Amino acid sequence: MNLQIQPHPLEHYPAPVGAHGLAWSYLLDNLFADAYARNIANMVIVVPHAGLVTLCERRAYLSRQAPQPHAQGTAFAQLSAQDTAEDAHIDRFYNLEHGLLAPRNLRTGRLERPNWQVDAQLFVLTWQVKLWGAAMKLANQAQRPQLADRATFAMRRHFASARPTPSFYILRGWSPLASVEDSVTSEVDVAVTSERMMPSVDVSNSSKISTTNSNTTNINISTINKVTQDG
Amino acid sequence: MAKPVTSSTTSLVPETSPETQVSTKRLETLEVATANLLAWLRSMHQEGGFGGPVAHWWQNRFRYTGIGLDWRYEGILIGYKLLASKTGDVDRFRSLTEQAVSDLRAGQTADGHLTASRFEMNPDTVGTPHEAAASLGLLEVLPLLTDPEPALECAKRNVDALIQALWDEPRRGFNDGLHAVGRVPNKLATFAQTLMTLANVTGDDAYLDYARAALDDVINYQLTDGPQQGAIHQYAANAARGDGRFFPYYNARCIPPLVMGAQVLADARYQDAAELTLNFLTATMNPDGSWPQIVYQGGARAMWARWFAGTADTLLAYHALGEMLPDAAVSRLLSSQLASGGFMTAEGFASQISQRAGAALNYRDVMPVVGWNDKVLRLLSTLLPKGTSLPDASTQDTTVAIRVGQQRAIYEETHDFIRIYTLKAPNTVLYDWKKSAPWAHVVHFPLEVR
Repeated sequence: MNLQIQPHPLEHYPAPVGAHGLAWSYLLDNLFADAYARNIANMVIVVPHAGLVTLCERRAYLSRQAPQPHAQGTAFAQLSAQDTAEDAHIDRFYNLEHGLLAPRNLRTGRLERPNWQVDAQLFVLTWQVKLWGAAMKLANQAQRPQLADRATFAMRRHFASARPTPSFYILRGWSPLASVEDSVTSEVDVAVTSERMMPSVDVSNSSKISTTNSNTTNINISTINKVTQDG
Repeated sequence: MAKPVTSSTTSLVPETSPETQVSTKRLETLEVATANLLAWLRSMHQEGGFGGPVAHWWQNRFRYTGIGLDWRYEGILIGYKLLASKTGDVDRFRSLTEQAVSDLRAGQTADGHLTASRFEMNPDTVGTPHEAAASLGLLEVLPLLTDPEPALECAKRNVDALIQALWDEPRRGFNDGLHAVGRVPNKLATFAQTLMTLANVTGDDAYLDYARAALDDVINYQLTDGPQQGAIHQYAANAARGDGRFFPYYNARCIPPLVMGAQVLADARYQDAAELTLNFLTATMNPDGSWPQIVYQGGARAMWARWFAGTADTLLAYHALGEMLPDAAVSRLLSSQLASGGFMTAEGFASQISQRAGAALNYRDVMPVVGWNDKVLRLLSTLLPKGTSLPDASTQDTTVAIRVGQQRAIYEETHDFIRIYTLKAPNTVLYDWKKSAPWAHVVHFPLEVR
């Protein structure tokens, strides 16, 4: 997978360490796994923190260890700003939103993208993390480490969700409407509230989706830069 | 002053000792188990290294299934070296060893660290004790390699990078990570073993000073009296007092390095500490040959999950001190091998939060993990006597009934894939991993809990 990374740092954005490090492991693993399953050959990612660059590069490198033989699609992952890529250049689009648990300055409204449809989504660092985190703190204060450990794993279990729930991060995967409607898998995979997590499309049929714009395998850099600056 | 690497043995831990050999009636069982485990490991090797899901106490990785250049290479490399010696089939095991060495060399980054070296937190890097353990594997197999210099260089670069990244000069010890002061004794023990082995190979005694500092921290966090006498704290934030959590498994991993330290550093305190730790292990073993996951300072225990494959490291600790291996633990370990040749990870992961007994097997229990099975390979190859002849592998496709949450499901494994699907028609697939792929298809999101 060829990767281009566009750092677009946001002010006061949390570094990907600690709980946010775990959150980004969910976000990036799901993003790269989804792209891999959909035969994406080229991906551009706009990231909101410089510390994410190496995390993306490593996942792209590891994806290249066993490349999909017919990979040819192009994806754009806008994880930093609200703006989007031009439809004609991409087969797959991802965006990151910040939900109720994020600071007000990071929250954005839900993205609208005409002629595209969300077919996968992930809610990370959910409200239950705060709940179980408080339980952990109380258990530690009471010097009950066994209870603190149990609360830790309860928190871990609820750290991310494929179902909509208040959270810090929301990652959405988008497909062009036409390709979704044409796809054999569309009936089972396009439900926005599906419990399934990315990739939600049957791998055996994913080439149908990625061929929509399969003649466009190179991202227009000027377009990306414009998008980034606009964001 | 460094001296050139030679082909002499670098290991100071005995390969076998008469006191710890298992009974001869078990020999055939061990040989079959080893042959099948080797076959399973081959099925888990993909371009660039050994891959697969990871189930662990701390976290899990079921989405990322690509290579992991972590502690799995410790047991794999040492196992291959021992099997070359025990079976006499040097060509076969040299070839396997050189492939594994090649994995690590190819995955070493410019800064000396290894790609995807954090096991249950892969694909992150600078994993502890994982990089040190992998480098220990490299150093142990030098005598087997046709050209040992590149492997030595890889290990040395990695160890030097770890020293630079983790050395805490004000407190004269090693931190556990890049961003915080803290001590994890079992990881320090593994690192000390690597440092001592590197000093032995290169003749550079500077590494011994670091090893001594690491082992001193291990024994500093050992309880020398009281109900948990011999137990070693799991963690010490800020390099201050221990956290009051004692993991029998991690305590066991301290023992071989302490035994080695007693010899190499000529310090009897390390031998005493190793023997005291073994007493703790013996005192806490369950009647079925398992151990609790955690013994807390107040006496409470986290009983679940209980390791299967990881028990091999606990048994190796008995071996390192020349003690008889607990028969119940050996039998329990051997009974956990699947038809695929892989050993199950644990039992009771479903009870990790509730800590109530009686939970059905779940996917984390059954899933064989390379970074646990390497420990079994190391133990089996240690126990097998010289002159062993391994049979052809007799592995088969595997199906095991499990639970995923409240759903009854099937775990299915072949040479080429691992799949989990519901038992109820129409057999909905919940998880699908093609063994050559770096990412799995996680259809049912709860299977991805980390």
